[in-house]
Amino acid sequence: MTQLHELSIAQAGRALRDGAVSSDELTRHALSRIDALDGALDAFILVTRERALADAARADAELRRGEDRGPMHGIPYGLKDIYDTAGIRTTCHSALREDNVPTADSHVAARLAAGGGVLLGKLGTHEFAIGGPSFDLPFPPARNPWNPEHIPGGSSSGSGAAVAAGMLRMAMGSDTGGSIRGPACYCGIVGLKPTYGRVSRRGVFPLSYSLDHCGPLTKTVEDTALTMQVIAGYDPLDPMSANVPVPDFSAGLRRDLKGLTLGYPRAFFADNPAATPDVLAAIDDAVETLAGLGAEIVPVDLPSYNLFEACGRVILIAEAYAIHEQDLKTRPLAYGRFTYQRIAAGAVLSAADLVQAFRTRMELSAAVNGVLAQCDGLITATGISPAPRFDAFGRDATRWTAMLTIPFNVTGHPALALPIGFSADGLPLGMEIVGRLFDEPTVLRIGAAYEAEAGWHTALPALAA
Amino acid sequence: MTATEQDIEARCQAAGLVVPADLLAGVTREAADLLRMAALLRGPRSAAAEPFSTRWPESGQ
Repeated sequence: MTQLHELSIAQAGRALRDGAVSSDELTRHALSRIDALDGALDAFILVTRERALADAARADAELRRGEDRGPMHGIPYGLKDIYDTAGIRTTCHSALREDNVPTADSHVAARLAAGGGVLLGKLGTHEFAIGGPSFDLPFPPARNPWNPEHIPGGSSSGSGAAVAAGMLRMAMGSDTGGSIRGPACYCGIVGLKPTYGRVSRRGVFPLSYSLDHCGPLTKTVEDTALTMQVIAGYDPLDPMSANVPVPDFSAGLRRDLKGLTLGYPRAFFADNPAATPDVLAAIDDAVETLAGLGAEIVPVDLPSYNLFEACGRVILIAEAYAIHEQDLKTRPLAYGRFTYQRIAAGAVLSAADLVQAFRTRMELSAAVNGVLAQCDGLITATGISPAPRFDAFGRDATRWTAMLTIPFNVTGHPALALPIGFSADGLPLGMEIVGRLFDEPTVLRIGAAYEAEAGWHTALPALAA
Repeated sequence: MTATEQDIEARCQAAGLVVPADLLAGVTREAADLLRMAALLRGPRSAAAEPFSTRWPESGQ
């Protein structure tokens, strides 16, 4: 018998509308799982129990009256704790904002509330979406439900852990260099970094203005599509929000891949010395599966990953330094070590460095657009090795996880991470599907077709609940 | 102290950033990595790479 936490957003939505389940039941079940599991996983910074039950009661009453607010109506969800929530503490997982209570919702929080969603709470992150995994912050780091000795990825670490553990079906993350796709990969779930400008960042604490993206982490591709239908759209108060039509994100689901051409830039990740054999084999297998679904696979080349990484890292750290400059100078010891060391390094960059990075970005964006003019999507890696152990990180910030995700923050293309199997020691492996700008429906179509064929989304970690 | 470490310390001082001694080693390693990456970006670029802004024309901005 399917348990309530195993219902997809679409399944739960149907059950809510035909009276088979109430939002109150879904919410109380989710809260009981959080009570049972979060002591070991530390995914949540704050559980908004009273708010959740009030949201659920309202949703049930509205649905009984026949008022339908859309696919998230009555569905429990969580927010990474960099999303402002009116009247609810928003800490960025940092001592610097430990008592910060915003007066207004972030745009996404407002959209989800207007869509009848049930806010379960605020989820752990690497400090200011860059610092962790850290043990010198006001809250402990989230742990990987597949093995709590391993990190869940970051910076949307609590979001990834909570969805993988079945505490909720959807959690919002943010992605500046891979912070949605990394946790999705390490936790064996789905994560979408939409096209830059597709989802408003208003009210989300910035890490890097021109690289930040907001997006969901979910158990299935369809759950991502349904969430996107609620959160996407133009926001004139986010200067980089794109005034483009919002598509039907579910339009391509449940279709095969006949007629699609997928570029496979294998050398882009396979030549990386950090790539493990199990990751390479799993991606090759996934590509074969995609071919079996009717896609034409063509080899393509991308510019060197090192150039993408250099471009992205210089922009990211320069912009983060600009945001944090005053606190770095006046309250350095209020930061966690990793956060301070990573962002303070931006002091060494020059204006010329940043201009050269922006020039490189123009060329790299043009190169990716050129490849995507010849094919409908790209298949590449997210993480090139499984989630590392916590004790692989030293006292000082010297290690960035082996993610090849930042190229599409640099270029702004939509990129979907989804699971493709497990390593020999039982840790999730993932791949990334990249699409043309604002063509999330095709990316989701490819992902959903693979997911239905491969079935990895049905795997659940063994948890005592 | 190596030349790179001296350079990083001078750059931090010029930026007005006083790095606590206990955090200096990590900042230095991160900064050295960042400078190595910045050097990769100084190759010749085409005229099409003129950074008229940080926005993408494709996004309609």
